[in-house]
Amino acid sequence: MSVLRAAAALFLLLALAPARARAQPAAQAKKQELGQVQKELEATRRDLDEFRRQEQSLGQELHKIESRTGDARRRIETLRRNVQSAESKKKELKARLIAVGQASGYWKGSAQGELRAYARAQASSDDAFGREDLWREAYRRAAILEKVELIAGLQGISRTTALAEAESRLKAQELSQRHRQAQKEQASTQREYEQKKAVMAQTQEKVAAAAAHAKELEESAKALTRLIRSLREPRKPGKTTQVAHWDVPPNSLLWPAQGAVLKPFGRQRNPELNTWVINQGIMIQTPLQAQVAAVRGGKVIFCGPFRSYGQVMILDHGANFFSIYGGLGEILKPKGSEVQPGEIIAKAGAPKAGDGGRLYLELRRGTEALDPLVWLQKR
Amino acid sequence: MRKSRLSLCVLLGLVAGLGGETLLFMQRQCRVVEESLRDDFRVLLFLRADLDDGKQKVLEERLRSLPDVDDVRGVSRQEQLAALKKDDPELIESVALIGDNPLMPAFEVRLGEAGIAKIAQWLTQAQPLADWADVRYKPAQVQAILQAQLYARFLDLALAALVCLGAALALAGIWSAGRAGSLLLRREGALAALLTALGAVGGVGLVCLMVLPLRSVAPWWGWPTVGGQLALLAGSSAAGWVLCARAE
Repeated sequence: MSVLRAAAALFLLLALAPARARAQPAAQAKKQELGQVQKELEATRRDLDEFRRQEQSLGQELHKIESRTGDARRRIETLRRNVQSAESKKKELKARLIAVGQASGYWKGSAQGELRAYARAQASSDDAFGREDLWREAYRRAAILEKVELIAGLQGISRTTALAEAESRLKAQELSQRHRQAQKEQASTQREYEQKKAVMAQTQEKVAAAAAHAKELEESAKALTRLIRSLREPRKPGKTTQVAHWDVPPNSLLWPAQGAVLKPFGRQRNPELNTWVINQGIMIQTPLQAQVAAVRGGKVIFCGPFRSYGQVMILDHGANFFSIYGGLGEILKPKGSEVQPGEIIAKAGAPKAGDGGRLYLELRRGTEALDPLVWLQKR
Repeated sequence: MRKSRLSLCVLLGLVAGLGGETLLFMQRQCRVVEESLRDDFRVLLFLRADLDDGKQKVLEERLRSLPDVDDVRGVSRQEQLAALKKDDPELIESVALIGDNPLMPAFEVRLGEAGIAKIAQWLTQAQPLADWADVRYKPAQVQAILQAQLYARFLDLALAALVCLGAALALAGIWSAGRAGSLLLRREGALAALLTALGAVGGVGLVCLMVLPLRSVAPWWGWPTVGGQLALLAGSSAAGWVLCARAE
């Protein structure tokens, strides 16, 4: 809608001279309009402040989420390292368990062999003579006891290692679980971050839109102020123009393009900005590249890009009446050319890729904006 | 003197020689076995851990001071292992070791005769002296020593009884000769004693011939003492003289 304001300003500038013809009533009307614009500007500024506060709050939230995400990432990294360490320890303990089992088995076999040899030696030794047998027996017995002690120690180590391995396995499982949980939490935080970022982007868009709207309103207000000032200035001799009576009856003008009316004329609520805007014309939804026809015969007095409107064409229908076509794609008639009613003058443009065509139509009698739906033929 | 009486004297000497020499031989064998077993017998006391030299000496002296101890020898782990390597290298090679030496320091105690007879009592006295890891000896060896001692003493007793009998007979002969008057100077008496002694020599010789083949298979061997054999001959001779003279 801010673009409409800009177009209005342009038109006002273009129509400045004829507007002076009926300066006092027009000045009064523009003063009222200026008041509305200033109110709207104040509301938009309040909205802008609110959006900025929201943006700031969202920024803080995003910062917190980023901080949380960083913490979560570090925690996940720590957990990952811990899981790796636990897994490594588990493997090491398992290997140790196997090695201890093998060593235990080996020494068990050896001890069994020694026991058999000991039994054989005892059976073959003389019970009543030979003190050397005592030393041999002591040697064998000491060797067997040494192995038995070693086996008992190995079994103890094996039990301890098995216990430690089980604990390590449980710890690894727990750490893995915590790792997965942390990853889920991080994913959740990331989603929240994305959502907040999207909201932030929307808010930034709103801020930008509100700022642009405010700027447009300011410019409109300035333009209106200039216009009022110019209307109040004393008229120069010979430059007087009369606002002619437009003898066109209501609901008689041709529709410039087929399509539904997206935005009607007059004061409308903008749900995105949560504010009121004043539409000086109507917005028609058209097919892409739809042909745009002149609502009435006239002369092309302006064609070309204007601010955010894109391509704009203004037709002068005489008697200080004008029709303005905004958001055009291709312009088919040059400036100064005469057009007949219903003649194709341009093609509708598309504001965004993928959307259908849009056409903005505004009717002016002098500086006064007229409701096009009053003048266009009824459908 | 009649011929039959002379034969009786020879027979008497032969029997005395056979029996006496057998008893002497058995007594000698018992002594040899007992001495060998006793000489071999040791009590080994193993410590739980190494002791420094001072403590080991003290413990050695305390063991030595126990009753009926003939000798005490401290044997370190290294000495034990070295002795085993020297005596039985196959044993050392056949046993797989975890460390270098599984043995513990030990004391080798040689007990006297009374100590062996009261080995349980001796061990009770030795037990509190140190924290022994193990005490080893051969109980069957103790039993064998005691058994050999029993047999040897029994034979001592039997031989002593025979000697006493011979002496009593000799005294009785002298007393009878004194009453009859110069009996000792009679030629028949001397001849009877001589023949009996010859019979005894023959008996001793027979016994020696009988036991000689056992010498190569017996683990221990010992001949009766010369004194014992002379006493046997003297006793037999006296017995023959008295018995034959009285019979005449």
